[in-house]
Amino acid sequence: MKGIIFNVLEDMIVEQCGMAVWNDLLKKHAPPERVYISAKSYAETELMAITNDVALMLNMPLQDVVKAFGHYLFNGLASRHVGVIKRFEDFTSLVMGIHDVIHVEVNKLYHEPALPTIISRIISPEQIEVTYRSPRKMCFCAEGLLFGAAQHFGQNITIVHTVCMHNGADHCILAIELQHD
Amino acid sequence: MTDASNPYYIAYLREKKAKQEIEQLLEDSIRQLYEKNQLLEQKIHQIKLQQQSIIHQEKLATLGTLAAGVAHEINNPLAFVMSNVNTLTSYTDNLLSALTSRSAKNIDNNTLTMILEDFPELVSDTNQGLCRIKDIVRNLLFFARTDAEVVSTLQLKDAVELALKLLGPKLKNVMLTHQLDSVPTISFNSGELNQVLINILVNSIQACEAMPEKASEINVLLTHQSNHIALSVSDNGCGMSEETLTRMYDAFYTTKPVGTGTGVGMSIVLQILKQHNCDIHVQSDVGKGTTVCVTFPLS
Repeated sequence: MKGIIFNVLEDMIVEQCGMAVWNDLLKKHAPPERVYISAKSYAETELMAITNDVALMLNMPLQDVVKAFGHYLFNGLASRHVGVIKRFEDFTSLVMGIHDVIHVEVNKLYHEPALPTIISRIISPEQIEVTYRSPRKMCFCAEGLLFGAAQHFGQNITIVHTVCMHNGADHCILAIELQHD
Repeated sequence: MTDASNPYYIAYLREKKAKQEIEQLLEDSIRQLYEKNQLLEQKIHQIKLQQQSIIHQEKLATLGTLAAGVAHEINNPLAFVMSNVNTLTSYTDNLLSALTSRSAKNIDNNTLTMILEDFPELVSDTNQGLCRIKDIVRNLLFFARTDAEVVSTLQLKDAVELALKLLGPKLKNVMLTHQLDSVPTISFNSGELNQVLINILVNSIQACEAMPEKASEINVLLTHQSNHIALSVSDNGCGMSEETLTRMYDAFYTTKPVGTGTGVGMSIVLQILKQHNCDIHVQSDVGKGTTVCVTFPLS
């Protein structure tokens, strides 16, 4: 897991729970004197342990915490890579460009980023189907990222997680419904 | 005290922002580097395509060099095949005319005897001539293959003999001596072997031509050494200076007048020999001559 993801997680926790909570979480779940550098890779178990603890602390289901983090992550990544986001004129073009544009840009910056496989398909002007495959099974984070992207473009959406790797499938399907006024 | 009013928190945020800006700078540089690398890879690809095109042109040029030799080799048997066919046509006309008039009186006995004696020999010679042409074309097709990248088991002696035969017209003013021992077979791409041999021999011929005041001599020696096969081509031509010797394998380096040499011949020779795990050694003295020695590993 790239350090940039931990950086955004730190932003979120410090912003919502305070610096002391982040320090405690680090002390508990990361090796001593851990420093997260955006381009370096770190064990994803550290991220999962921290999110788990946050879920316990807030008395929220883990999936909701991961989804909320995904939402926050989009803004964190978008603010760090303004040029990439500017290439999309709306939510649909961004979703359709995840594989061919966003992941290409990520590959330029990071060595072995271990990206998920994302296949986006326009079903109708109101429906997009996103197929997600990753051994990390971070589909709820992906769902949050999509909500973050929708908010960025002022697009109201709903997502139905019709097929999920957490239910034994080898992939997830996120059926996005775009709501037009 | 809340985080927002905590001076350490403010310092933390400032440090974090500084870190982010540094990482941003780093990422911008990485992105630029990546894009430049992509451009560089495209250029390398283009250069490789151009190099392949030049190599192909050089191969065609080698074939052009061989064309005169091939024409000469084919012309000799073709001349007597045509002569024989003319004679056979004349004999056939006589015989057909006699058969048509249902009388052998149209042909005297002497002529008939001569036709009967001459006919089998003419047919046999014609057949031999056609077989020679067929062999030449077959050999040429084998050694002139420019597409295949297949490594074949080859008799180096045959290849050297064929190259010398095809360069016959260019060697007519040269005192050629050769000792071609029967050596074990080698593994080599046939078209590329021809390319190597023709390049080395043509360089020797041209080095001799550059010294018109001297009787040209070229010696070709093929021997089986303990752990390799050695082919050496020596000439008493103009030789090469130290600078030319150092740069002779550089692509596009040529001492020939503009428009007469591509300057890639020896560069390609070296490339081909390296691909086949062969070595090349050149010894030269200005005004005295050059010896090119190629060693082939035993297959």
